[in-house]
Amino acid sequence: MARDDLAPLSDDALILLYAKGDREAARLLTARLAPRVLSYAWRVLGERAEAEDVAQEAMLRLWRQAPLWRAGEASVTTWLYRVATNLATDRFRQRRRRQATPLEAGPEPEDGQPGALAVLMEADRMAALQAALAALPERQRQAVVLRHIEGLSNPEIADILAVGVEAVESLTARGKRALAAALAGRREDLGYDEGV
Amino acid sequence: MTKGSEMERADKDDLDRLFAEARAEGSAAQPDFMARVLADALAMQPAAAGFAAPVVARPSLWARLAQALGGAAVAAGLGTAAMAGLALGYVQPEPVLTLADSYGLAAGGEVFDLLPGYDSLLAEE
Repeated sequence: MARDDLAPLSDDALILLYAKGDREAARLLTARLAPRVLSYAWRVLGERAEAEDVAQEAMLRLWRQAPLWRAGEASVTTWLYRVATNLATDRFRQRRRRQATPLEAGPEPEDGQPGALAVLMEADRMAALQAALAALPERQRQAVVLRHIEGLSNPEIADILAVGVEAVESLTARGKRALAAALAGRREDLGYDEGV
Repeated sequence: MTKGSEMERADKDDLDRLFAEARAEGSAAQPDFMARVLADALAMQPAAAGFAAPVVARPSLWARLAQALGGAAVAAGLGTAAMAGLALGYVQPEPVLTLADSYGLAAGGEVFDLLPGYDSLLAEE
């Protein structure tokens, strides 16, 4: 089917077409979903190559799942974010194990507060945000990224993180407070004028 | 509004602006990453029903034989005729022998009368 004909279709409909062998549906789903899941993985992991691995693996699981997909049962993006969250959590565990082994202790963890302050001095706002995010506990970071960067609703995040909506509200509120505290008094470093 | 709460609000505004910038920035997915994901998608994709090679069953020996002779009906007729000819040759009924005699085609050798004439059956007692 032609790309223009498929463009208005939902992710759900495209998955069904993909499962029937429509190659244009494969291209469109890749273009729609891969950048989103990569963005999320990058924000929560803070490391590009690792984020690409997680995003690619999450997409691979979606392709495997496609023939069994039941339209209307779950949102494709919610499903994908949940898979990426689980994969990212596995990566965190691996990092912790590596850090717990003295002989393999390599460079300092990326989520150190001094790192966040250092990049703030360079007035690189995105790097500053990334460093501040990295300083958050894992679940708070996931919830804040899903809510404030990926733009998902609290019920969707609750589904992805397998917690209640109230827990999501608590996680995002605490995460946002911690981020605001980490960036407090750094308007000049962030490049925001006092008068704005 | 106190100076402390003003600063707190400004910090939150800054954070909201950072979030907005991060949303706008997206992931900036590299072409090689996108190519890898698409390659996975195409490799894992089930074949389209329209593109799959149809599975054609090999016809049986009898079907191929019937086809060679011109169809199943022709093969059945041919088989029946062959059986009838075989029966006539073995049984040699009297009317056939009489007819053969009239054309001078009587067998020169010994003749076995396996199916006697049915005149006796038609005769009234």
